[in-house]
Amino acid sequence: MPYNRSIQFHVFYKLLQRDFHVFLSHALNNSINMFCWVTLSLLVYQFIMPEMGCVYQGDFLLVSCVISRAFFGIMDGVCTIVADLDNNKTISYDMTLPISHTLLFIKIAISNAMHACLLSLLIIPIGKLLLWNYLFFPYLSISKLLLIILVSSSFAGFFSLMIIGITKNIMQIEDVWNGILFPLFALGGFQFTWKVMYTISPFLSYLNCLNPVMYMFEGIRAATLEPTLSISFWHCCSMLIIFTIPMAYIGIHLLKRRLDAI
Amino acid sequence: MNNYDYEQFNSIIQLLYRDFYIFRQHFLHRLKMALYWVLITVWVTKMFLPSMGLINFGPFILISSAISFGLFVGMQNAMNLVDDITSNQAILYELTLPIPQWLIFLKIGLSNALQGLIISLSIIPCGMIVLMDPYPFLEFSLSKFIMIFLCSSFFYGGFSLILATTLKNMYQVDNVWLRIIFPLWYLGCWQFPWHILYKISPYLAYADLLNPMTYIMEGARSATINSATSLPFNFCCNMIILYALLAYWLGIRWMKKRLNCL
Repeated sequence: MPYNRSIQFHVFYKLLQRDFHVFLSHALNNSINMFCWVTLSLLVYQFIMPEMGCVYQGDFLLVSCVISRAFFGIMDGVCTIVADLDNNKTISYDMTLPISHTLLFIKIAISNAMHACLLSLLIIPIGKLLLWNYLFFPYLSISKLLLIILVSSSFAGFFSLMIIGITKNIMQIEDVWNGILFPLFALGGFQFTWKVMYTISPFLSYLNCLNPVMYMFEGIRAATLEPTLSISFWHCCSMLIIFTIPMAYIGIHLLKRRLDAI
Repeated sequence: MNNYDYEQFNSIIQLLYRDFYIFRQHFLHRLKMALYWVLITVWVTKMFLPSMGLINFGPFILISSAISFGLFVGMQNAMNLVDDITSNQAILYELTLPIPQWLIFLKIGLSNALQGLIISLSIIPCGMIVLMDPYPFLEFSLSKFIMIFLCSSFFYGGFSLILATTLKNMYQVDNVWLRIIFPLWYLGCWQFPWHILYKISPYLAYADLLNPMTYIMEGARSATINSATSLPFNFCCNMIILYALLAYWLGIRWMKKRLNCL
């Protein structure tokens, strides 16, 4: 029997609130981990890599780190849910609540997206505080930056549903990291731009248009660095939204099948 | 060697043999996972980084990635050990055998070292295929190459024991990856040679000599691509062995304390 819509949204909101409290309890620890990673990467790219001839510096890497966090940040939630499905299955409790299973899975995606998004927002301020006199973003558009982080995190959130759907147990998490996330990330342009790829191989660059992570990297570069470096910002946002819709459909379908949901 | 010593030695060999029987079953899968990371990184470096100013950087990244992969194998094995300690405690069986308990931990370290060595060495030929260059290492010396891989693997074995004692439970995996492994690896000259760091800041370069990974990376490059600008090979090997002995001593001591051994 379908539940009353207002009750469903109330439960949805309360579950999101609960997830947010859990996120806050781990936020400091996760921020310290992120700080270690961003600081070291930034220092190496700002001071050492240019000595070796690298034309891009800390600003290029810093914005790539934002997207890396928005993309990889979902994995905390994925690991927790996969471990739960493997052992206690506390998700069964959520599934008995007066909320449709589709909405429950959308809640998981939004919750994962929120976790990924919130910490990634800290990266540029951390980088700027660390290297105040070295990092400049003359082309920065804050509204575009926030929009691309939001769109990228939303994609990553729904992508996380698909990963949960295909990961049979916690021991397969390493396979997901190495076999899915890392190739998408490294070929998506963490260290290079799409235009560089196009100059070297137009065929590969067009093939890479099927990689949604590429639009994340290009989009954030369009929002923060020199616009000629990357492809159009609005094109990146549109493509990410287009990728999010089938990802949500596939993710929800896989999770429903895995959990025998209605 | 008296009869009792011989039996102890034989038991250790049998335990190592058992570890390798298990390792053999998972070898191809673990190698495949390693290759995803190394080959994509090497391919991106070869194809796109020259356009960003990093010319002929592929062999540099290949040798750095291959020699450092033992560290990640050590971490994976440390995670398996901690998972066992915090759940099934199958290690208690080994500790009840008529062998001094420190020898069991030494066996674990050596087993991890050999596993890391096999995976690291297997990466090199696959990386050479990606580089599409039959002679990527201009100053290759087989004896030095074998020596540096043996020394580094010996170190990783001991270090895996330290990691297993640092990791209190599986919830701390991210902390160990990002606060211990990543800084050691990234500042340990994975992406840049030590002499460049020295050019930028002699103080930081000398501080980096406290990092055992610096000797491992520099030693590997000295044996393969550039002996003139790398740290002296013999010095690197001696320092790695010194660090390895320290790691085994501390690792065994802390493992004994953690498991309340005699």
